[in-house]
Amino acid sequence: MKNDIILIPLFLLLFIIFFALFTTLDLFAFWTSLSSYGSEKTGGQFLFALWPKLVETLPVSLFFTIVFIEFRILMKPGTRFFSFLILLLLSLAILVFGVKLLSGFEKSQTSRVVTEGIEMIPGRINPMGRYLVYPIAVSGNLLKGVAIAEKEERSGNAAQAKEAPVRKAPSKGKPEGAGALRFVKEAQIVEKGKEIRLEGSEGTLFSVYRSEIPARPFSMKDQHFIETFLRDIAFFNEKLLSYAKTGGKDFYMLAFAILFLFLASGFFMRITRWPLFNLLFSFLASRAYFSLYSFLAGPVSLQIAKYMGKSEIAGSMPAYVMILIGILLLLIDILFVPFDRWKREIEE
Amino acid sequence: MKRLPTYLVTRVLTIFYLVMAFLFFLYSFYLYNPRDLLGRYLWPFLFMNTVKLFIQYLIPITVTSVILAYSLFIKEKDLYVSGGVPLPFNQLVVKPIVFFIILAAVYAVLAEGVYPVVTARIEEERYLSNLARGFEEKWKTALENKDYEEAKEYIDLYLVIDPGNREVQDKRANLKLKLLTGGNSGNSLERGKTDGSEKKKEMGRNYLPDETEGMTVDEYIALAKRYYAEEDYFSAHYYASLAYRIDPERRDALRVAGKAWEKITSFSQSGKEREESKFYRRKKEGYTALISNQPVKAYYIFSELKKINPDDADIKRYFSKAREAVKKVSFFIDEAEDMLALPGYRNIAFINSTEDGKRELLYISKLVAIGENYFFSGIEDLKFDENGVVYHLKAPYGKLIGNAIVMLAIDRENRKNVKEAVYVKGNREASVRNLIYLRTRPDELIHLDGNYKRFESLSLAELFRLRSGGGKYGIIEKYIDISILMKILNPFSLLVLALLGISFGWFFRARYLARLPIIAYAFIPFMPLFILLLYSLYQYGNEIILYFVLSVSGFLTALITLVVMQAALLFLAMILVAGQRTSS
Repeated sequence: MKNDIILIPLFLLLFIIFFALFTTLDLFAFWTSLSSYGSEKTGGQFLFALWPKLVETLPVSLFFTIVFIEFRILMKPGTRFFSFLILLLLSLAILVFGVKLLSGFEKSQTSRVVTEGIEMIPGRINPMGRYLVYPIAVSGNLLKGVAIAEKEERSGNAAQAKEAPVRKAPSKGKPEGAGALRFVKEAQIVEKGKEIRLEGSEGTLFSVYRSEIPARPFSMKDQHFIETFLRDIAFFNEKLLSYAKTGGKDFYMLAFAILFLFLASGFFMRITRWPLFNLLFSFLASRAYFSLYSFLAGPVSLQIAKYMGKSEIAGSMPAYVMILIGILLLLIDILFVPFDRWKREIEE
Repeated sequence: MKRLPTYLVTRVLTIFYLVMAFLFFLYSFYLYNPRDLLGRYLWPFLFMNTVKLFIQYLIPITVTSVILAYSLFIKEKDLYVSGGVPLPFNQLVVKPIVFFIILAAVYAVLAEGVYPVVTARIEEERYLSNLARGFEEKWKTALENKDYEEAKEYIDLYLVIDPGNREVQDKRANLKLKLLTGGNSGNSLERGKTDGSEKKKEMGRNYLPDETEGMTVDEYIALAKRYYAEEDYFSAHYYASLAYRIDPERRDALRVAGKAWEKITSFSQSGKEREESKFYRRKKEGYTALISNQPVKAYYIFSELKKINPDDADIKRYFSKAREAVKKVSFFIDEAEDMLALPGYRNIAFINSTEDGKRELLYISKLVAIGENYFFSGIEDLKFDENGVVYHLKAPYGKLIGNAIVMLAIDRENRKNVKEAVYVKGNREASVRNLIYLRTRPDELIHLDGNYKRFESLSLAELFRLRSGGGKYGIIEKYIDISILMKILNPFSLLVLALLGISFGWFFRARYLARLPIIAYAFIPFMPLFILLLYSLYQYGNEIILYFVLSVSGFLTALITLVVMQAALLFLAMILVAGQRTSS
């Protein structure tokens, strides 16, 4: 029982470490991708951006904590039932109250929350999709003395050839003799949802999607592994937060299902006498759960909603599937994998 | 003899390196596309791409093999000395730590010395292969048009890139035979005589040096006097004028030039035949244009006269001189079009100058570089300040001559066919209308295409060089800075992660009593992928912190942060290694 009780402070300690680390990194990454124009980029904004970032990193910090705490359970096993129950209740409480509380804070700060913007550096050539923008001066979202170069579609190298085509807004006031280069005395950056437009005095000069203007032109983030991983986590977060905001049972179901699945997967830590394998396998499984959720809540739910016409079933289906998988894993664990295997086989 | 852990670690590392090198070799073989690379580059490509991939993934490979060595292959019993007492773990890892420090240094050398070289070499071979394919298409088209002379020229150019290609060599031999036996069509033979040889020379060959180049003033005057005595008044005037231009104090040069000019102008009054007189007048006109700095006009006059009397010694000489002079201020349209049909770099845009608050943004749609020759198409130059445009020009073609892009392109035959800069807005003096003086080195142009991703493949030295001038070209310096920081980070990452790999591997070591189960072996091939994912996350975390510090406080602070952070991580890794116990 002592080993079960000690899990609570250990879990909290680990969670705080992961939460602090991930939030700091997320905040830093967010800060560097912020719009640099005008006075928006201030320390105050940095703090106000903290709330949404805390909500974003809370679930993933929790999942990392569960994987690591399972290793502690392997080394110092308590009782199967209590340790499972303690961790489930503790993690569920953190997830449910944490998300509710933080999203409440976020709501109260909505007018001051910073959205990701684009970086526009005066006196430098700023890439914006297929366009290169050189402003002499930047003030707020107003650019002064702006030269614009429009790259040709056809590209001489593979990296550029992969560039997504840029949707061009109808231009009312293209300067006379316009070719690849254009000049306007003033232009304004207008951000509307996923679209960013450069507006001149006589109309839209061009528009690009936000995704075409990364925070920086190259990053480890672009690597396939990380990109898909972050995308799946973001998708899960988005769903969880949207359910939290509507306040329905879907939120509690999803929170319970994912935590139940993660905790039921704890036996992966005991399947072989090679803990490295077990640990990496646990990480792999955790990674796979996010993909599974993206798959279930994405294309599968859409198909179900399309054929059955019941969107509420389609909405909660991923949670049911995860609970089902969790129950199966839990049964395998109880039936085939001794809880104190490590202690019995290795240490004694 | 008892196996020492160090021996085991190096053995696992060696085996892992060899296996991964072999896999990279196979992968390179899979990547090889004969359309991208000529057959002669197959083996160099396989070798260089293997080296490139090996260096690129050296850190995750090393970390994987370290983790596997300590987790799977080193047993507790390996740590017991003959007396039956186990050595403390931290003593057992001293040699591996030293080894990893050396490996980190070797990696730094490989990443900075070898990686950019092989990457650039592969790119160069790809470029040359593209070029060869371009020549191949040209000679095939020429053959279809039965223009054997042109076909032979392009085959010759192809063979410069791929000299060992027997098939093409045989084709060339056949063509040569065909040409010797008069197999070329009349038109193309004529064309070959006139512009074919010129074009070939212009595409990267050297011109014959002027035999009078580098002579002294006295020698020029002596030469002028000799020509005067031989009644070659054009040459006498030309060399005397040259001597006078070099040394305006030389009155004797002026005297010879004056006498020769008198003779030239008095010729028409001497009662020669009408046609001959007309020819002579045109020659004088051409010569006058040449010496009065109108080389294009002179070129067309002598080109026209050359057709009438190709054996005239004056025409031969001054046509050659006019052509040389023309090439200093212009180039031929067909020459540019031929070159620009070849693969090149696209969308180059940079700030060429910033003077008196005015910026000059230069855009080049395409650049083709062969040797020292740089040709451009789709040139646009915009000079502006906050109040508006000073001038905005567009030119279809350009050629780098000296340190300037010359935008005057002329036709070899038709003087009316001229392609030059058109001023959409504003204007410039006539003498510089068709010139853009470059403030950058020509070889740097290819890095100025606004494609910041390119920085990843540059070496530290190249990045630092670009950094020093980046701002003035309009490049965002912090994109260069983060590339520099990430490159500096890599050797540290190797050392820190290898040490963490020791502790991690040993802490999570397999506790099998007998042989390893099949599942363990089956898992090994997937290990590098897991480690690659974790390594990528680790690097991404570092990148976020460094980019943040860079954005907030600049390069120096970010560099200091990097060093401090890596020192802390290294310390932590050492502590973890020291904290490991020999037995469970």
